[in-house]
Amino acid sequence: MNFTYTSKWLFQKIFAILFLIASSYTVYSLYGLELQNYEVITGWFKNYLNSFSVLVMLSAIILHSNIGLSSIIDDYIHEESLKQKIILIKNFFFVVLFFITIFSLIKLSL
Amino acid sequence: MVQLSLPQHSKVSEGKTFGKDGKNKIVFNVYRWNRESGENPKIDKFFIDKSKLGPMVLDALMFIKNKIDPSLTFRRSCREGICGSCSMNVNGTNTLACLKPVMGKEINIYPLPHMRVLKDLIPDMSDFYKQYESIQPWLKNKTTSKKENLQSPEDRKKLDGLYECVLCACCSTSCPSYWWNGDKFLGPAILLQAYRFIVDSRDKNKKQRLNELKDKFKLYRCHTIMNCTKTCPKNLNPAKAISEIKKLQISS
Repeated sequence: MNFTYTSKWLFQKIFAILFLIASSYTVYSLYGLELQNYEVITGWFKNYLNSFSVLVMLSAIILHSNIGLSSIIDDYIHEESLKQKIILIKNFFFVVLFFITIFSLIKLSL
Repeated sequence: MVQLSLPQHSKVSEGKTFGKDGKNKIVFNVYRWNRESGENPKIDKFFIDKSKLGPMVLDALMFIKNKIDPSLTFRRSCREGICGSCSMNVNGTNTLACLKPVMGKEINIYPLPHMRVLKDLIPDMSDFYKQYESIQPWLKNKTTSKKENLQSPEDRKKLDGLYECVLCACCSTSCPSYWWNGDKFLGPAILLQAYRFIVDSRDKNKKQRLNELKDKFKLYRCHTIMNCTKTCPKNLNPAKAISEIKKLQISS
């Protein structure tokens, strides 16, 4: 399989499944906790499995959205130069979002 | 960029009215446009006694053309859903006029959406046919044998639900992705035909056919909206054929 649009299409589906699995685990493990209590929640993040599941969940949704948004841009924007600029801004936004996610999770779990 | 507002010359206004409302009458609102008149499209109203009509919308259109307004223009041929000529939008759904029964008090008839109109209910199908040609819709087989090219019943069964397509373009013109990217996206009708040749055991060009479709516009503009399957007057499932092509793309 070459890395073509077929791969992107497949990865988008895989990221959606990963998101579903990780979000199900996150909701399940948060069930019964006192969610308004700051100490309880930071304690929950100290468990590496929990913070890993949040990392998988957020990464999967970021990557899934990135491919999905590219597809929407391809659908509706036909002017090539404008399309390239918007894709560049979108990619920058998602990279920043991804690093904020990782930084926040490391900070919470340590 | 997608255009959200209608250009001035495509705004539809009220046209002529033929006949009067009354008991047992049905009103047909028919889209009319003649390039030569230089005017905007209009909707003509035809009040017709139900007892004078045949059972299908095509019968009503033929009645209008023969008895009321001979200038009404539409394509038709077989009258039985085989030729695919009389595809149009009836009451908001793309269908074949010859397969659509006359039902209710009011029937709105428009040409297929998002196609260039040549006159009245006749869309320009040239781009659609060019796209059909692009998938090379014929069996490709290097065998020079003069014997019959046989197929097992199992292989033949794979073509059921595919070979029945009459290329009426109802599905393609109901697809929003085809509306926005009709020049690059092949659309459900053509992709169904492409799949018909990909799965045909007598065709030996499967890999090349799949490679030809490996394009983010030709195939992957399909977002499984399913309008194609919902509207198909032959009850085929182009959305399924497209998803089968996507699956084959992964394994190839």
